[in-house]
Amino acid sequence: MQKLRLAVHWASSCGGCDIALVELGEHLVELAQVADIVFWPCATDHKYAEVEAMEDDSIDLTLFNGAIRTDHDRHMAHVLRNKSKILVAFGSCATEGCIPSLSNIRGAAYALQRATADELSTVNPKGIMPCRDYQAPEGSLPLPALETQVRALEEVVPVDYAIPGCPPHHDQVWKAISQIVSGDLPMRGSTLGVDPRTVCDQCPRKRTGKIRISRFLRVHEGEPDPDICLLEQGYICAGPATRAGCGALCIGANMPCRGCYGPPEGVLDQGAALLSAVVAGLEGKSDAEIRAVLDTIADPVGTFYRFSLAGSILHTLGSEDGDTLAQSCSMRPEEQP
Amino acid sequence: MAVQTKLDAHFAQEVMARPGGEHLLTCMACGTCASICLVRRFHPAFNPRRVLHQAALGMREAVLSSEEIWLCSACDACYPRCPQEIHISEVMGTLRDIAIGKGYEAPGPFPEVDRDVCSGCAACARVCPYEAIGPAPDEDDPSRQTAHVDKTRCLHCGLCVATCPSGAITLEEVNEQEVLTRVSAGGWLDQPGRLAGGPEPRCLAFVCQWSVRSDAAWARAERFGDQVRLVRLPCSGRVDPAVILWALGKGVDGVLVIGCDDDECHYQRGTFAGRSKVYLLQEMLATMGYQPERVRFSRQSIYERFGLERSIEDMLQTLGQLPAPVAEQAI
Amino acid sequence: MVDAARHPNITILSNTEVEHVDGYIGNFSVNLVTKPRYVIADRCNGCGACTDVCPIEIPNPFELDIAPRKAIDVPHGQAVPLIYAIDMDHCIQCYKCVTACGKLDAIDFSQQPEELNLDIGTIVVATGFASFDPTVIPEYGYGRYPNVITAMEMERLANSAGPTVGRLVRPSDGKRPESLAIIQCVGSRDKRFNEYCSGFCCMYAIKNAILLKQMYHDIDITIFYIDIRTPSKGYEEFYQRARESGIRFIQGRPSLVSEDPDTGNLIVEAEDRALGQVIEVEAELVMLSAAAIPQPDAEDLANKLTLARSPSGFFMEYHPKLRPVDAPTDGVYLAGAAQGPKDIPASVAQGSAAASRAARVLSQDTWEIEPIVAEVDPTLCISAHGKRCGVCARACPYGAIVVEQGKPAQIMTAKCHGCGGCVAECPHNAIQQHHFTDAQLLAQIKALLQDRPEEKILAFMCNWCSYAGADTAGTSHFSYPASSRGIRVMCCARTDDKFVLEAFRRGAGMVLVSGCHPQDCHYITGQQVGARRFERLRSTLERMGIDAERFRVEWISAAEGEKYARVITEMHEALSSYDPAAIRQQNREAAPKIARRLRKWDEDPRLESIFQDLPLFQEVAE
Repeated sequence: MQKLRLAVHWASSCGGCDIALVELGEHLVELAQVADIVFWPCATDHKYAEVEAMEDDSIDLTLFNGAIRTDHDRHMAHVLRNKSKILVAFGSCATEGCIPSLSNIRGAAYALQRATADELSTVNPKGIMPCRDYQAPEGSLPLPALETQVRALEEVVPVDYAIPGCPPHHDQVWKAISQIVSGDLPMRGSTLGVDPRTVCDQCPRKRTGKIRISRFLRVHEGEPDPDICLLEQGYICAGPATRAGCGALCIGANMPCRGCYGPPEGVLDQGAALLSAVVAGLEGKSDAEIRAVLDTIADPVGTFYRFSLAGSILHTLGSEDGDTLAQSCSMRPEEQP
Repeated sequence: MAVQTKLDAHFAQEVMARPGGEHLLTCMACGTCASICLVRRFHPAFNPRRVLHQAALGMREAVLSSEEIWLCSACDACYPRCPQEIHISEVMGTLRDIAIGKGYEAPGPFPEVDRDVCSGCAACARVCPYEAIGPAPDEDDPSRQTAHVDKTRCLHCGLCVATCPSGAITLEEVNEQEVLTRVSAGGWLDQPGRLAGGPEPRCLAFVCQWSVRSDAAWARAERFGDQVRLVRLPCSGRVDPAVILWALGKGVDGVLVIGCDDDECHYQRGTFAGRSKVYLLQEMLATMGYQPERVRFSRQSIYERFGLERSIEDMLQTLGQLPAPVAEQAI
Repeated sequence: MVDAARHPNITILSNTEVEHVDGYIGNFSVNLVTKPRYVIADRCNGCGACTDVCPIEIPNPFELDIAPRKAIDVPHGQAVPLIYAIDMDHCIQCYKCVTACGKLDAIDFSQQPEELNLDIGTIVVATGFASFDPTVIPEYGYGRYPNVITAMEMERLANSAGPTVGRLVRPSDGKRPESLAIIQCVGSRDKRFNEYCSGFCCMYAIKNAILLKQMYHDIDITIFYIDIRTPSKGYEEFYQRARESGIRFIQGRPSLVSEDPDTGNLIVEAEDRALGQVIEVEAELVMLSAAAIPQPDAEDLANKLTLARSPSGFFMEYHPKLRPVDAPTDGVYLAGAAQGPKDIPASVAQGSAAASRAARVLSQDTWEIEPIVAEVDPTLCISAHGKRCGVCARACPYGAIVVEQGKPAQIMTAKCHGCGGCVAECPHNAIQQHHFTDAQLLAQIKALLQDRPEEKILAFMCNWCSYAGADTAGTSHFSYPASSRGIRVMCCARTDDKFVLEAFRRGAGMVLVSGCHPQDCHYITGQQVGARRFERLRSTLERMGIDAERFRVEWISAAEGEKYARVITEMHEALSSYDPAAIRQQNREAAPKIARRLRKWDEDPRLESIFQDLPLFQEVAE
C-alpha cells in the first residue's frame, strides 16, 4: 500500500507542538509504518525549495503548528495549503492564535521595539532594529517581516481540521492521527483530538455553587485546596469555558486551567464565556464593592483570552488590517554593532 | 349569586407559623405592596395584597391552586415598605411550599439543561439568586455532574442562561437566538452609525424590564427613534458579553446596559452580574485600544422616574463626541 | 393666652426650663432656670423697631423654616408675652437694635441665666407633641423633592398670618398648585416607625382640603388613605361634606412618589383598592400627614418628674379608663398630646380635667394616702451603722427613699405608693410594709401549706394585674383545678424570694409568681425589680435541687382570666405527673440549704411564732 505523505511545519511557535508529536513515543513506530515524513523543518533536513517544488495535493496530511506572525509564515501557509490534501491546524497557535496573538494587544511595532531595544536584559544602546535585508559579505540575508497582526491559520488559508491544545495531548494526537489515517473522517471543519464538553467534565474536584467570591487570587497568592473547585476558592480557572481533552492535567497539578484547548463547541468567544462564569459568584452589595472585587483580577484580557485572542470577537474590534510592517533598513557591514 | 366561601383558620395559622408570616393577620390590606410590585405590570392578575388577604381569611383552596403564588420573584420591593412588616416574599414562599406539599406543581417556565453539553461547572449555581439550580449526579451517567433545576425555587430570571459558558441552558423567551433576533430585526444593524460614516450615533440598549416602572417612561424613550434599538431583558444580568462584542463588531457605535440600582434588583443579584460583565468588558476594550466609553452600564433608580430617557440621551451625547477608535499601531 | 397673662394669680415664666423637682404632693420644690432673652422684659413694649433694623436673617422654626426671622424677634405676632428675644448663636452684636430701641433701652447683652426655686403644690404636664420627620421614608420623597411638604408646613402656607399671607404656593417655583395629593398615615400605623394611629390627621387633612377647596374652587385634591377615622361629634358629617365638595378619596396607601424633573410635579403611585388597580396620579404639590410623636425631651422630663412612659413614648397615665389625667406620681397631672396624640376638643377637655384634679389638691390642707406605706427600722438599717447600701432607694420607682451614709434610710411617706419593692430588696430586713409585713405574709404561707402541701400550687399575685386576672377567671367561669392557693401582694416587687424558698421548705408542690406585663406595672418599674429577682431565684432553686418546672413566673394582666386558668391547669397537670414522695424528697433535701438563706429570720423576734412549728434549724437528734 502506498504510504501516506506527511508534512509538519512550524510557523510562529515555541516548538512544543513538535515535541508533542515526538511524545507519541512508540506510536511513532506505528506511524512510520503507514506514513513517510516529507517535510518537517524542526526534525528533518528537508528544505523549503523542496516543498515549494512539490505538486499540488501531493502531500496527504500536513500538521501545521504555530501562528501566522511573519510574511514567511503566510507564504508557507499558502504553499502548504496548495500542496496538501488535508491541512490540519495543529496546536492552539494555529487554531486560535495562542500566546503569540497576545502581541496584538499592543501591536507589532511595540513588540519589535520592546524586544530589540527596550527590554531590560537587552543591550542595544544604539537602538538598532532588525531589517529585511541584511548585507553580509557572503550575500544578502533576508529576514521575514512582521505582520501588523498575529493571526490564526484559518484566517489566512482554509483549514480542514483543527487539533487544539498547547500543546495537544499526545494521546489525543494519536487518536486524531489514527482517525485521519484510517480515513474515518468527520465533517470538514471539525475539531479533532477533543472530548465532549468542557474541562469541568473531566475535573474531579468538588463543586457546590454555594459560595460567594470576595476576591480573586493569582496562583502565587495562596495555596489551593486540592479537593475543591479552584474557581470556588477564588482562583480564576478557565475550565468552564475550555474544551475538554487534556484530562484536566493542570488541575491535577493543583494549578488552574488556563484555557489552552480553546472554547467549547459552539462558543465563538472564549473570553466572554469565561468572564460570565467567573463573575457568577461575585460578592458585593454595592457598586463600590463590586468594583473592588473586580480590581483583584489582574489583566482581564490576558486572563480571559490567554490562548484565544486571535480567534475572538474582541479581537475584531479596533484591529487594523494590514500586511507587513515595513522595516526600514538594509544594513551594511559597517553599521553592525 | 354569592358563593359560600370556606374559611379555614388553621390555614392562616399554618402560614403564620413559618418565618416572615408572623404578622399576617395584622395586614390591613393597605395596598402598598400591590402598588410597588412590578410583577403586576407583566401579569395584571398578580396582586400580593389579595393573596395575603385570602391567606389571612383562610381561603386555602383558592390560594394554593392559584397561579399568583408562583409569580412573586422575591425582589422584596414590597417588604421594606410594608407598614406591618410582613415579609411578603417569604409568605409567598411558604404558600408555595404548602402547595407543593399538597401536590401542586409550579407552572414554569423552567430552564432546560442540555445534559450532553453541560459539564457541571456550577457557574449557574453560583449566579442563581434562589439556589434553584446546581450540580448533581447525572441520571444517565452518575459519575458525571450536570446542572439540575429545583422547580420549587426557580423564579425564571434567566441569569443561569447568560452565565453558562457552554451555552447548555435555554429558557423560553430568553434565549440567545431571541436576543440576536431582537437586536438585528428590521435590518437595524445594516444602517450606518457614526463610526460607519452615518450622520448620527446609533446605540444598542439592553434594558432590564423591571427598571422602567411605567409606560410613560418607556414612551419617553421613543423619541430617539431608530438611533436606539431597545432590547428588553428580564434582568441586566442576562446580558451576554459576547453579544455586546458582536454588536460592536457589526458597527454599532455603542452598547448601553440599563439595570437596577444597588438594592433594587428584581432578582436580588442580577444587577451585580450585569455590572461585573460590563465593567470587565470596559477594561478589556480599553486594553485593546478601543474606547471603553462605548459600553456603559447605567443604573436606574426607582426614584428617578424618567431615568431611561436620560440614560439614553447621555449615552448618545457621549457617542456623538467620541472620535473613531484608533488601534495603537503607530510605528 | 392674653387673659392668662393678665390674671393676677397666673405667672407666665417663658424662656424657662425645669431643672429639678424634689418633694411630694403638696410640697414640691421646683428648681427652674430662665434663659436670657438679652431683652429686659419690663422695658420691652413689643414695638418691633429692633426687628426692622436687624441685619441677620435666620430660619424661623415657628414657620417650620419656610420663612426667615431676624436674630432679634418674637415667635409670632400673637406671642404671649410679647417680649422680643435675641438668638445669640446668630447675633453679631452690631447694636443696631439698641439704637432703634432708643429711650426704652430694653436690650441688655449682659443678661445671664437666672435660677428660680418655687414651692409648688401640684404639677400639670402639658408639653404637647412633635412631628415625625418623613425624611426617613425615602419613597415619599420628602427632603428630596421640593414640592413634597408636611401637613404642618401646609398649615403655615395656608394660614393668612403665615409667610405667604395665606396664598398657597409651591416651593419649587412659587406657582399656585392646581392639584394637590394628600397622603395619610405617614409614620403612623407603621411598625417600622410608630405603630399607633395619630388620631387627628384624618380630620386635619379633610379640613385642609375643604379650606383649600373654598379658597381655590378649581383645585384638584386627592386624599390617599388606609382608613378614614372620623369618630367624634360631627366628624363623620364633615367627611361626607368633603366628599360632596369634590375632594377625591382613594383607599390605597401610596408606595412611591416620584418627580417629573421638567415640571417639578409629583407622581403618586397607589393601588386603588376599590378598583383593584394601580393608578398614578400627577399632582403639583404633595402633602404628607406626618405622625404625632413625643417631644424629643420626653425622656428627660420623665426622669425629672418620675413619670412613666407608654410604649409609644408618650407619658403614661395612672389608669387609662379610671384616672386618665393622673400621672403615677401623686400630685402630677397630664393634659393634652403629651399623654397621647389627640385633637383640640380632647386636649381642652383633658386640660380642664387636669386642672380640676390639681385644684382638688390645692383646696385641701391635708391629703389622704394609702396606709400601706413602707417604714424603715433605724436599728436594723446598716446605713445607719455607717455602711454603704442604698439598695432600697434603687428599687423605689418614685424616688421616695433618700439614703445618706451614716444615717438610716429615709422614706418620704407621702411619696410612697406601697409597692413593697424596697421591703423585699433590703438584705437586712430593715424595712417593713404596713399591712404587708413579712410576718403577715409568712403566716399566710404557713396556713395555706398546712395540709398536704405537696399537692398544692402556691401563687403569689400582684393586686392590680395578676390577682385581678385570677378574679376575672372566676367571674368568667373559667374552670381550673382546685389545687392553687393565692397570696396577694400589692406588686410582684414585694414578693420576696425568701417567701418562695419558705414555701418549698414548708413542702409546697409548685410555686407560681406572677405580676403585670412589663409596660403595665401600676408602680412603673416595680415589675422590673421583681423580674430581675425571680431570674436569680430560678438559678438558686436549680442549685438547691428543686426541679425547674416546679417554679413558674408568669405575667398576667387583669383581663387575662383565661391565661390564669390555663397556667394553673398546666401546672396542675405537671404536678400530677410527680410522685408526691419525690416532691417531699426534693423539698427535704433542699430544706437545710433554704434554712441557711433564711437565717436572718431566725434572729427576728417578730417571726418567732411563725417558725415555732417548723424551726429553721433543727437540733440534730443524737
